[in-house]
Amino acid sequence: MTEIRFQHVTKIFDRKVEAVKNLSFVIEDGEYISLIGPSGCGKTTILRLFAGTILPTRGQIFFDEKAMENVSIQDRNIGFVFQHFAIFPHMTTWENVAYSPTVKGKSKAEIESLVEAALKSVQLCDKADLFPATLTAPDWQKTALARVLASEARILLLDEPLGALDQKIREEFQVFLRNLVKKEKLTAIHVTHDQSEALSISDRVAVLNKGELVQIGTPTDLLFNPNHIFTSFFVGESDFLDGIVIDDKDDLAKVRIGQRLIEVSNMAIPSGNRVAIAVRREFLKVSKIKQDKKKEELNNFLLGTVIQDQFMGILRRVRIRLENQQIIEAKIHAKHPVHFNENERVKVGINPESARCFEYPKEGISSALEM
Amino acid sequence: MVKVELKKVSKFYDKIRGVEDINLTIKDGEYLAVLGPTGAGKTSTMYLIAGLLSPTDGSILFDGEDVTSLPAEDRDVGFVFEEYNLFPRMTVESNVLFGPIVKDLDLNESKQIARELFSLLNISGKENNFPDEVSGGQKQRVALARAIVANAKLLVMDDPLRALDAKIREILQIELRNLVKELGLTCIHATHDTHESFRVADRIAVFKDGKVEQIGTPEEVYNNPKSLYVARFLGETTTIDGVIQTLNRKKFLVTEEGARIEIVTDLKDGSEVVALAPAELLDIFPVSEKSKLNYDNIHEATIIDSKCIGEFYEINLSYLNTSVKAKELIGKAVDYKENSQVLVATDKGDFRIFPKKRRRKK
Repeated sequence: MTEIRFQHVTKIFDRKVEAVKNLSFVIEDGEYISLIGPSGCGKTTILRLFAGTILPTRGQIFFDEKAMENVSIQDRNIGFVFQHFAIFPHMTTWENVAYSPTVKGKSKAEIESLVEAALKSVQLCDKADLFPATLTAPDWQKTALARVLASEARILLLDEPLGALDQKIREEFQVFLRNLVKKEKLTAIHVTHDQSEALSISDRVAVLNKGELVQIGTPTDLLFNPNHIFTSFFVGESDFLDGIVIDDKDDLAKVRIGQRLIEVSNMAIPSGNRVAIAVRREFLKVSKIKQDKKKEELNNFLLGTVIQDQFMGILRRVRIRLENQQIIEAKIHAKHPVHFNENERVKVGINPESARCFEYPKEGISSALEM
Repeated sequence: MVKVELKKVSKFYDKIRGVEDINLTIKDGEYLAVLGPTGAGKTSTMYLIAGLLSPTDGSILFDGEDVTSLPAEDRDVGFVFEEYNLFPRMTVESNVLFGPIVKDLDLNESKQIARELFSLLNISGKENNFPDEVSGGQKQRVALARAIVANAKLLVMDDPLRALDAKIREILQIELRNLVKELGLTCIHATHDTHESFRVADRIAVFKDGKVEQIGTPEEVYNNPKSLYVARFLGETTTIDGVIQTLNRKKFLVTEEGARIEIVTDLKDGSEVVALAPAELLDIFPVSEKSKLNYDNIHEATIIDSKCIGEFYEINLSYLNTSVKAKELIGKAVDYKENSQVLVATDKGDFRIFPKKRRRKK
């Protein structure tokens, strides 16, 4: 296990492209961290910085409090697993796994014990003598993992390791991978573009955008307490309402959206400011206007007109044009008994705790989020 | 707009089957998704419709007219590929106007159409950028504008969003459907992503091994899958084996251990069946709520583990001695603690019942 610390790390390529900007974070011993973000957010650059194939332009990286700038890739105790398996096709599983200890000049007995332990860990003992061509994709990935274990690496860098696997196998492999990392007490850094993979496999997830660390936190933190508009956008599904803060004094802030006042989480943005209010699609409650006359359960709501009630299998998605002409979408369970017709007027109930305000981006929401 | 018909269309590459005996009608202005795994014949079908391939057998009709031997450039089909295939040394606008120029259409009018498309596709302002100066999502929007600008009536797309990040893919799915509907195009969109097909399409054709396995609205194929293959492809399911039994005029599936689940089926008593339980239709409640529930089936189950994946909790349960997966939207007040007992409630219509195939001996 190794604790890793990035301290104000910046990487500039060709003197102009700032791939990673002033990055500071700590990865604890034995932690499983995922890096997510759109393409070009700096994920791969960060992995290369970990590995030492590139050095920071500014700032420092520490492994267990030891500065890494003069430590070569071989001496960093790092193992890699890539999307494409990078195992030697002319070697058996056993030979692939034995490669690193052999190159390091270990004794025959040491090599044997390392390889056997590694193959046992990834459950490949029965395939030790087979060549990659006769194995399946998940077994190639297991071979790659066994190779890392046999090299005695303490840090595991994973670059889209499940990207080439089919969905179903992928989910099984996520569980396998996390269990392996925990059992072997490795520190793991996993790059993926698949947010649900990151959320289900990691202790913490780092959200990156344009080379900056937007937020790092547990999966539940990111889902329920996003502290940046980009996290709200990138993790889960949200729409962003255009509003103005009217009252910022209580636990819940009052905001005006079009002609209506609603309550939302107070994010300490002063009254009078224009805000983007992130509403999670699965927390919106859509109801027919007549239905709840007797009992006004929904008092925190907006009014709108249904554009489409779309069947999506697990869910239905109801697209609604609000009074202020903004379009939002609510996700409701497929078993929800009420169906909505096109052009039907509806109430859209907003759960104040799950609606979060952010300063309205100057360049507009879609440019700020580069949708 | 154009109506497209494929009649007994087959395409073989030497002896390898691309598609075989495809009969398919795509209505005027319809958005059809062609769904299937790699190798199911999706790309062959797209290429055949666009005229980039000729069928080995069968005919293709546009508005009742046989176009089987009509070359691609005379079919008025706009084609969008997974790769954007933009000309790297031309600006966004020149890329889009390439077709109209080659076809010798009125340039001013084409420019006007291009401007409208740029605005519909949210890429106004990028006209003078080169392809490598815009994002992946924007590149695919340019490719889309290029496909449509020269009066295409039919839009054929082969997994157009595959190379994009999940987030952009979602946004473009909505944009695509809106665009197609706004312009009144007929559209055929191949994808391997079930969610995407639900999102964009009026109807879905599920392909298997070069043939159409089932075609229908998203609701039809999801609720009434014709085969285990379709059911498995469309949703996350676990299977429960059992035998059909009638009791008090109600049909039940009886598992090996003797547990009974009420189901809907026409199969006779004693038939060996496989029941598919879609993860999202298994409703989970605390044991204390048993008396309040109004379901056809209520069984106790033990939670093996659970995890939060975005808007869902994914819960693995030991249910009737089978390990099953359930999905619950977040926001429901149930504690999914490991090893705790819960209730799994289902209605008789929630299970998809298929006769069990006897395993062939190898």
